[in-house]
Amino acid sequence: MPYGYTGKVLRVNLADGTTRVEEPDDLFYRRYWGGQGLATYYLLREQAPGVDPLGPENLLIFATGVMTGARLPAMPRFSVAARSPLTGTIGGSEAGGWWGPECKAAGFDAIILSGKAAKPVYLYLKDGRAELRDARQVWGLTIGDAADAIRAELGEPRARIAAIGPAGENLVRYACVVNENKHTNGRGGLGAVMGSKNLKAIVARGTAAPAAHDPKAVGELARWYAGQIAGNPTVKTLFDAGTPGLVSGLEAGGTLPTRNFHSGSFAKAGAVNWDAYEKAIFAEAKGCFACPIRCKREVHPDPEYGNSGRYGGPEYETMGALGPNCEIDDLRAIAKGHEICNSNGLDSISAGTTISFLMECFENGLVTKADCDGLEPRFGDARVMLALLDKIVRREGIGDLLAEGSARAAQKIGRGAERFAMQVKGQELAMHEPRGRPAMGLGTALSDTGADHLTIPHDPAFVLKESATLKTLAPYGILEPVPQLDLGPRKVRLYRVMEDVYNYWRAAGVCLFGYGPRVGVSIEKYAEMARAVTGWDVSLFEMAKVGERVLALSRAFNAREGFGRKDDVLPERFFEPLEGGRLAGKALSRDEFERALTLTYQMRGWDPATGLPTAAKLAELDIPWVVDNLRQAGVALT
Amino acid sequence: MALALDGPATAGELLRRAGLPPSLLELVALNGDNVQLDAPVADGDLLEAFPLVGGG
Repeated sequence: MPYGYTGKVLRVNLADGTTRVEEPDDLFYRRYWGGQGLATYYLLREQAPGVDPLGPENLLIFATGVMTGARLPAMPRFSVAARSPLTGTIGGSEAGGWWGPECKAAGFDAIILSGKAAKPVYLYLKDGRAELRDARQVWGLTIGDAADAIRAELGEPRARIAAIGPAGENLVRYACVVNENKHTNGRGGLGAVMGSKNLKAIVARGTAAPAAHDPKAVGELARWYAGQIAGNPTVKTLFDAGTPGLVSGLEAGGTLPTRNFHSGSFAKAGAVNWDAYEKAIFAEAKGCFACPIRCKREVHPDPEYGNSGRYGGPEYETMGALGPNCEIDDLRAIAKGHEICNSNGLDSISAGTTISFLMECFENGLVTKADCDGLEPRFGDARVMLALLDKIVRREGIGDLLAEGSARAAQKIGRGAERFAMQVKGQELAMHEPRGRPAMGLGTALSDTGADHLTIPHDPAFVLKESATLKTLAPYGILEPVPQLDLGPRKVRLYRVMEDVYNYWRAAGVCLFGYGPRVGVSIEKYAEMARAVTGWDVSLFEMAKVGERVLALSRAFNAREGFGRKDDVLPERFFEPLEGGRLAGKALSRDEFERALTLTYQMRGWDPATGLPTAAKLAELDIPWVVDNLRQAGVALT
Repeated sequence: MALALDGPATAGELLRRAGLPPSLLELVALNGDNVQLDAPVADGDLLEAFPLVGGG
């Protein structure tokens, strides 16, 4: 009997409207743990290389992890995966909130959607049943309005709904999936894949959550964690200020991306930090399913800016991308920008960084006022930022170009615009400055989904001997501090170990804000929780190997699409001196960066010439079938 | 803030006096360079402490 998961995977053929259920064995779950592990397995096994990401052949997979929905802190997450229309790589993005646990309670660990519906539909999951229903009446509505209408139609006020908005319907290449208005599978344009299939939403309602192996132990561990919050400073920082609390520290440290990553310091950071947020817009703290950390922020309605407040408040990434990186200091405008993104299903990171790209193009004369529908996209102009977001959602005028993402827009603009596009593999960077976080820069370059900030922890966390985060890594053999700006072998080793942990979280359905190293709760304590939920004798070794396996599967998917070492790069800007702030003048060394890349591949058992896993490594990870899979796709491994 | 030194002191001792326990900190810098908490501090030095800023 499975504990923690349902043992059921739902297949939905959108073209003919049929559904069927598969029941993979326990060994499958223990090998891949669900989430991104499960999704990438199916994408590799069942999807041919080279499919059009916005065509009917692209499989779209929603997958919970084995731990998703456990009555424990920070375990609400699920993955959405497909070939990304933004990057052409594997697309995978996780969200918290409530949908993942409800999907499991409705009877399914994962949903694999194929084909394209002839007309807009939504999928309704209820206690083991699945039904495709007409969505024409909600097509074109915002996320919140569509969800309200669907709940009313079904008479299901407690249904949890993951939906796309107009951005996904209009195939904006960085459209996202949003559940409960505030939780986004933000990256990679998976909302556009959903839109390309005429799928508006997946509605989940269930009354039979999978049992835990040892419910008494689970209850005791949940109570233990709740008792930690007041006394654990790293948990408390998230509890008190959420991610907006990061702005002040990043500004002080000189790593707050400003003016399209030219500077690490924003002169008006005080207008957009947590103190300003708390005074101007903050209403209350909220959390995800069963999580006492409550890092999410609610905001007051703001009629003057047309902000309803129903989509919650901006997170740090949104604040950074729509704020300092566009040199915008109007917090209420940033909150409105957040609402435009969440209500329409738009990734605020890619949207903001594509707008800052346009601002730099305009200020350098590469685009004109006429090109921009009469707007003058200058840094610091909040009114223009909001207007551009609206245009992107509707693909109107200049918005049609920006909806393609900064890499494609740069190609079209030409005349060297590529140097202003802060992207890796076609996806825009999140709000973390690689020149102050070189290992994070390494992770950004290596990420198989394109630039992504959730692949590894941040370099400054491992500098002080007394660091609470460093102490959580002792069970993994990381025993000594490593300097912040170092990118030598000890930092690469730290990166390589942590990347496995982060990829394990992506499979298991666990939020990295819940456990070490992000917060000072021991990873051993998490393993105790995993044992109580699953009944498996889970070890740190097993968790690390699962993470490494997920990473190897992602690399294999990308290899079939032609990606390799040549694509593991950073924008040229990061090898040039940072212009402002505490780290002004610092630049990444290209030689050191290339040495670090080579060493990372070698430490992973990958071929440093190609950046791909070796056949021996895939065998060691117990996935030798991937070698044949790649051979059939014309990719030979060493 | 300015703190008077009665004698030899370390960065960690001064930060505790300032009400900043090490568990709340991510980086400590002395005259612009990152240091450990046992770094000696002299009169006139600039000591900076940065809070936990990891996460996304």
